[in-house]
Amino acid sequence: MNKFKFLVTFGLKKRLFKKSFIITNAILGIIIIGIVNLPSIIAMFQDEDEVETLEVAIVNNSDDESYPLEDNLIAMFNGGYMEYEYEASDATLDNYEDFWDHETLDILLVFTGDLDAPDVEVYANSEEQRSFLTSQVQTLLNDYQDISYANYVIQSPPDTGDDDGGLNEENRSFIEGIVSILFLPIFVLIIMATQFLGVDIIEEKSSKAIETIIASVPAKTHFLSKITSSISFLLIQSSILLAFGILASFIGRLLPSINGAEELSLFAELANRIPNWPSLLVFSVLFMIFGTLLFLTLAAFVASVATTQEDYQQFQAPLIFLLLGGYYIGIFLPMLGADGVVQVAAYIPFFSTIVAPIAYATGVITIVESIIILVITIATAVGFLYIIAPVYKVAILSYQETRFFKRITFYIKKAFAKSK
Amino acid sequence: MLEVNNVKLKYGDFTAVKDLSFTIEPGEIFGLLGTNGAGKTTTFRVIMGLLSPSAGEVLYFGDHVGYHNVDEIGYMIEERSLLTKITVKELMLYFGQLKSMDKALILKRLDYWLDYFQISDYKDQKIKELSKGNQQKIQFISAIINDPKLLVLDEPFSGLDPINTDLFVKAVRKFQSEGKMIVFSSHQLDHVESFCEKIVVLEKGEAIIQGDIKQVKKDFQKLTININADVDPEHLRSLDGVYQVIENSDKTIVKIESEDYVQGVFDYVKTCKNVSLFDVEQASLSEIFISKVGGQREQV
Repeated sequence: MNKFKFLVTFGLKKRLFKKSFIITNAILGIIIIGIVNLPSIIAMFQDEDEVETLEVAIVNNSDDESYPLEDNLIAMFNGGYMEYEYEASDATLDNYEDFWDHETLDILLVFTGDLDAPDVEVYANSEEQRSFLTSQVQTLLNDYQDISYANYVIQSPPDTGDDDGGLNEENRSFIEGIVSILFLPIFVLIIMATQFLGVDIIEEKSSKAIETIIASVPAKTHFLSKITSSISFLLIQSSILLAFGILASFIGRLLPSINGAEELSLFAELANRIPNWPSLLVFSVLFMIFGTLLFLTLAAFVASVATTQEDYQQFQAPLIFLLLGGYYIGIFLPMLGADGVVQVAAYIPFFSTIVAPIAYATGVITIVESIIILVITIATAVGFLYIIAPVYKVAILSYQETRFFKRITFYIKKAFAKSK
Repeated sequence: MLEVNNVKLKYGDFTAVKDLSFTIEPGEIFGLLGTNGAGKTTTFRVIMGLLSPSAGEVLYFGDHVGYHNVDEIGYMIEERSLLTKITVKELMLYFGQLKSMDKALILKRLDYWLDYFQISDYKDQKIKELSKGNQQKIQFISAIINDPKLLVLDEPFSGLDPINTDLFVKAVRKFQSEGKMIVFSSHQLDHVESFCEKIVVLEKGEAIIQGDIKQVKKDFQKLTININADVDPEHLRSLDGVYQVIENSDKTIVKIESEDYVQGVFDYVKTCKNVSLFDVEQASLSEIFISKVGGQREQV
């Protein structure tokens, strides 16, 4: 095995075979499977006996006492909430105010006056029921009044040629809402990878083990192996999360058949709402890889310049802020309608990692723009690799304690003076 | 053979090593001496190829030292340079594989050296749990695990007790007997004296003493005479060529400028009563070192 391969494998094993990694993923797996299938799981443990029955008394003192108000209303109520079953009550009250002390009665509706525009007194113990009842009563009265409804045909706007993934307002709102949840794992994974890489390098440097290591392998090999190992870790961890998602979806397909409920699939819903999801998935993965490469290159540089763990923690803060900035731009600005800002931010390499896929998902940028941004991100990442590798070689064996920018300037000058 | 030819290293305007040359033959132990900041570690880094010299070259069996032949070299730096969160075994597998060794061979050699240093019980213990002395042993093992042809040791004996120092000395001697080249630095000049055939003393990056240790002593000329007799120290001080007289409880030590003045001292001691010792010896390396380095500093 060559030394590069060995260093990559060593770095990966160091993370993957840790108890904390295994335990964290086991917990994550349970959480993902649980969240994706939460409605099905709740439905599975909810048998029919658990459906709450509400007793309803309906008093028809209107001018049309012959109208089967009670039967029609109860039927309508039962067509609404699945959690409740509405049952007509035989209870009679001398005084309607006695309702509040009645032990079994849950709802009392008293209709008086002209049934076309009746006075309705609503007695219900729960706030939730009160609003539900008024809307149901109004619907029934509309039927009673034999109001004609228009036949609506919802038209789609003509195709302008822009590939916005066929998003309508409703789907865009849905994506804007769910985007923070979907991109949170990517954001966390990039932070994790950046942290791991930096801590790994600074641990070797601060313990002076780096001198023994660099005496055996070139600094450039060490630099690239650390980055490769961190990106591999990121991909493995992402694959594990995706596998958990697929497993959760598979389990979700099995669950409805147990309780006979309708299939509830988050993935199916996502695919339905985001018609361009295959290209979005590809873009997200590519932006994650090359965006992370950019951040890891910078993290390796910062770690090589630092001399102690404390130094590194201080120096890497701007990197984390850049990532955080991208995440906030990606999740909040589309909601505020600041599409122009999102579009511009998507072109900036440090933000593009998270902003570009979100901008594409929400239709702010087209597929062509996404490709251009991806090329810019890749070019920036590769450019940074070329610039930082020689500086890393100089900085990794140096223990200068001068101010950060003075130190960096010195290393850059030295690196490029050397290579001339 | 290791050849350091006219090596010069500059950091901007500062010259860390000035025109340094020496050669180490297989089976030789070479001492690199000097005060703190004299340029010893920088010289080692140049030998290891970690720093490129501004002028001159380092040749290892006629070839430049690089990553193509670095696996034949063992390097122990002055400070502790161990990954403390992993076990002894994991560390050796890491460093050993970086020297292109296979796992089975690393573990076989590790077992041998752990046993030699009587620390076999610590094989699966984390480095941070070991004492400083044991960490020093582990660091030494990490430098020799690849059975190097050239062993570069920067202050290998610092922080070791006499028993462990003896174990280190024997291990280094074993490498010497196998025809390996050893270059090391130390502040403990008695070790250097008993250990090396050749030395270089650096001061501010410049070699101020260099060559075969016997020749160095001979060239130094100044001698020490140990006397046990009823002598008058004041009279001794008045003799020609005597530059220092030290009165110890068991003997009197007289330092003279050169061999030419031995007879004068001897003639005086002959006249004294109770003479039981008159021993002339060459100056110790420590004396030479202090004399030369001190002189160098006075010139500045």
